[in-house]
Amino acid sequence: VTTTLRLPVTLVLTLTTALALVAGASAQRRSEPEELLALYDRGVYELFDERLRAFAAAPTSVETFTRAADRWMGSGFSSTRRRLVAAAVTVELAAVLSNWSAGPALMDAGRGWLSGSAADWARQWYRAAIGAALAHGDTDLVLALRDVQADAPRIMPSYREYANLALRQFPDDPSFMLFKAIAFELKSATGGSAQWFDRDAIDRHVKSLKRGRDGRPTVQLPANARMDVASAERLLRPDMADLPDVEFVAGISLRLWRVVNMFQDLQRNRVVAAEATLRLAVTYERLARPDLASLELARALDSPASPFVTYSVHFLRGRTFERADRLDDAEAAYRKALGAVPNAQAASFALAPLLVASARRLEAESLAAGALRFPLTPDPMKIYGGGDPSHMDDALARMRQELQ
Amino acid sequence: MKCCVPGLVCAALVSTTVSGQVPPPTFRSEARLVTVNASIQLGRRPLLGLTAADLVVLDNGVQQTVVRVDYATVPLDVTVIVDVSESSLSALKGIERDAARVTSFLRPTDRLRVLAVDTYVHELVPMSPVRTMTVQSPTTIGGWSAVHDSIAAALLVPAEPDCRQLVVALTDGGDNTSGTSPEQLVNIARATDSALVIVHTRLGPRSSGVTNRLPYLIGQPDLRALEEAARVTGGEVFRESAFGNNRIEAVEHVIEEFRQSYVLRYVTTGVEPKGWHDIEVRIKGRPDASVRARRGYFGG
Repeated sequence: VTTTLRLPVTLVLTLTTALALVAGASAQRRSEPEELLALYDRGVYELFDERLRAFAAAPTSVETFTRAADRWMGSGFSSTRRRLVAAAVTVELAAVLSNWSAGPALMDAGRGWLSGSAADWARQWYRAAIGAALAHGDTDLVLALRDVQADAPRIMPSYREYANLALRQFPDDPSFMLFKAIAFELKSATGGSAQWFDRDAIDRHVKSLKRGRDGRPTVQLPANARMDVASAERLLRPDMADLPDVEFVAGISLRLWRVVNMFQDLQRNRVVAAEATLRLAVTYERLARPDLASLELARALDSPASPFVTYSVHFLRGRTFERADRLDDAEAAYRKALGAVPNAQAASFALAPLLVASARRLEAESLAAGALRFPLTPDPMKIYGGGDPSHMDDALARMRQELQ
Repeated sequence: MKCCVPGLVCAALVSTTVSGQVPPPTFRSEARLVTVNASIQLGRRPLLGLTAADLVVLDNGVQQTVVRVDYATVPLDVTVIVDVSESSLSALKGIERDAARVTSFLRPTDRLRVLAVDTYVHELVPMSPVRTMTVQSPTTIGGWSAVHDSIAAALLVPAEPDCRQLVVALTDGGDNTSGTSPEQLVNIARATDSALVIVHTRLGPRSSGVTNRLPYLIGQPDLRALEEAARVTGGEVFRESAFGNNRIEAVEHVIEEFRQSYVLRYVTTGVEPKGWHDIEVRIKGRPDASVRARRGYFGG
């Protein structure tokens, strides 16, 4: 310090100018990824977000990005901070990729730069990373989290390693539990309408199928038949093994009931209870149990809920009311959905026909115009499979906050 | 007053009794101006030169007096819906080129609007005169399909005075993410003055597992609701293959045929204003002529 104070002022100025010139020259030579890293490092987030979107819209070369990041990390004074910035930027980039194919390798690189981070910072990184994977429909990654599914498809070893690492480090984190349950929900979901078969109906079908085995006419168990756990387990007994398709049909119900159990467990955790309850209701619909679904929807908002959950719950309640021809209640529900996420298209276009039918066409026209306003509002019902983006957004925001 | 929305014209009291006869139904009614697009053909050729005197229009079975007939001269508001659910951003350039070609079939007084539909409905070109067309590009394209919502959006535009609305939807009919249910789509179609024409395109490849991610499903391509919606507006469904899979030719054909249809206007008389009104259009003394017109309207 003493030496510095004794340096002549002119020398200090000269040195400062020289450093600035060198920095300026190096800034001019900076590649696009390096520019992104520097913007994030300086906390210039508005410009960073703008550049990031443009960068993510083009085909992303992970190799180019990691090479640039290595160069940038090596040229700084604090390599630890730069490693964290690089890790943060990889997950920011992964979150907005227009094509997920580069996502896994990108996040693998990011994970490699995580060492030395504080535990909570790493937790946010994993929340954001796994949230991004889910938002892009990469359920294999999320399902690779330990203890979820013994027979999960085999995926890249490094992938599994980092997904498991998250759970080992933070075994009780409700976000990870929820992500796992959502991934399993998506893997177990079926399209089209479902039909409930009670035990008597299953009995009748089993008898009929057995008669068919003896060469007499038979009635096939429909692929959309849903049943309780006991019936499904009965159909999976060895003596049923030669009956056509029953294993497949029973398996669907068993998987869906397993999803029910996962969400019921999560309902006890207040942080994720609302979203777990919403998804439990949807799973009941898939099990052809609208009665149970309605009960869950009615109590989904008893816990604190994000706009994503609030909108989805009201939208689905509106659908239920509409099916029951309770049009006033349906209208009120769709309006509440739009109160949570204004201009969202699914609720706007569900409400508009009700208005037209009751001679309020002008309001319907205005609703339709709002729903088309550019840029469009992300609709929770259309991104349902990707999970509530607020988990990821919150994690990204906390990482930024910590690094500043 | 907007030309194409049945509007309040006057309050009329119809109360007629003829001595010695059973009195006809009496309505204390609000008369409305109703506009009907009618494509009238002999074989495959349009039947030209008809006047009000040649036409019989029944509203809920009660004959109406046609007050005005226009042919070919009324400006068009055309909305083209392009299904891009299986496309990528690069498809936008093609849509811009196609939109520019569509404008060549339109007159300076006509207007064009272009909607693209994937998971969302995007208004690429807001309704505007063909010379001032501007394109708004979304940042992503492709995904699921909200075709029902896009048609609802196209039908739910305020009508402009002295113009006719035509909606042309180019789609394979698949829908798995609309808020508008199939039944509600038909109800909106019943309440519109626009004509809806569907150009049924080839089925695009469907990503496996896509529908599994949505909690409410409409499922596989189902043209029934689209056909019914088109039918009630007086429109129809074409197969793209009928035009050598050339979408622009298909759109050109639809616009030309629509331009050659008649616009009939009548003020309702002797009918209860509320509820659904069946409309029937016939040509006097020409049982060989075929008429395609909207099937009715909601009286509020």
